[in-house]
Amino acid sequence: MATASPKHLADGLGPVPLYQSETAPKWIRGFIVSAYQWAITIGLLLAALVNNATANRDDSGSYRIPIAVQLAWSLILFFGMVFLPETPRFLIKKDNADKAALALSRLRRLPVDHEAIAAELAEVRATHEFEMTLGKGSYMDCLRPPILKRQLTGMGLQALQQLTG
Amino acid sequence: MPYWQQLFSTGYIDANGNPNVTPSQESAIVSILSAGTFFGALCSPFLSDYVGRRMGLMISTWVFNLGVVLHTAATAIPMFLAGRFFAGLGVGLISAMGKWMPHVVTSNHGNRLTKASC
Repeated sequence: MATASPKHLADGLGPVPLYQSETAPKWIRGFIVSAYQWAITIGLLLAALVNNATANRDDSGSYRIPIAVQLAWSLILFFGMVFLPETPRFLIKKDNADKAALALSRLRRLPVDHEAIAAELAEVRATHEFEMTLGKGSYMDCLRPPILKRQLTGMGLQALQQLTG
Repeated sequence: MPYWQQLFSTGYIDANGNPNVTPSQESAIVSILSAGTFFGALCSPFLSDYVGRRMGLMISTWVFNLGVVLHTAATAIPMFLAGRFFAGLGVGLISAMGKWMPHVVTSNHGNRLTKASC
């Protein structure tokens, strides 16, 4: 594959950490969110296989097949989200406690009035209220001290990681 | 990919004597995806806070789908570029709709910060 084209089959594979981190039970949350990176690696492997299999075709399938395969993952993600509930954290943020309890009860497969649901909701609410006391952040805050230094440290690390190939 | 190189070439002949895209065209095609990702990632928190994580993800997948359809249908560079930009935008929206958040979310639960960072 000397050319620039479909190298990014894997890009469609994103089980999406924000949604995961707000819906997964605490004891397995770390693993589930980390699995995101793993899925990307599997995607890269699949991409290499498909690219290799189609690269020498003498028709437009040589580039259309590997690109179009990405639609599969994207559609799986879309239709999966159709059936999954909104995150309780977002609903709490929007002051919608009833819906948050309902969403959490579906995610945990427990009745809405179960004590574990109430306890976890209370924790989510407490975290949200704590965050509100910290005030609003903006992108500009990233470019002002004291955050600027860590911003540059993070950017430097990411850049160096890329530069090592 | 000889077929693609020939089809997308605008007349440039590479060192091996085959029609191909120019190095600068190739660079543009490669990097416009990252440009899309950049803007997607920046827009992601606004989308996910405004319409919600679930609806935000569902919208983002269709931004990506638009990009995929565009560069699947393309038979020349301009549409291919457009497709890759939108695919990048979708990827940025989808993946950033979380990259920053596990840290924020889990840091409030103590040591899970390290486990969740990916």
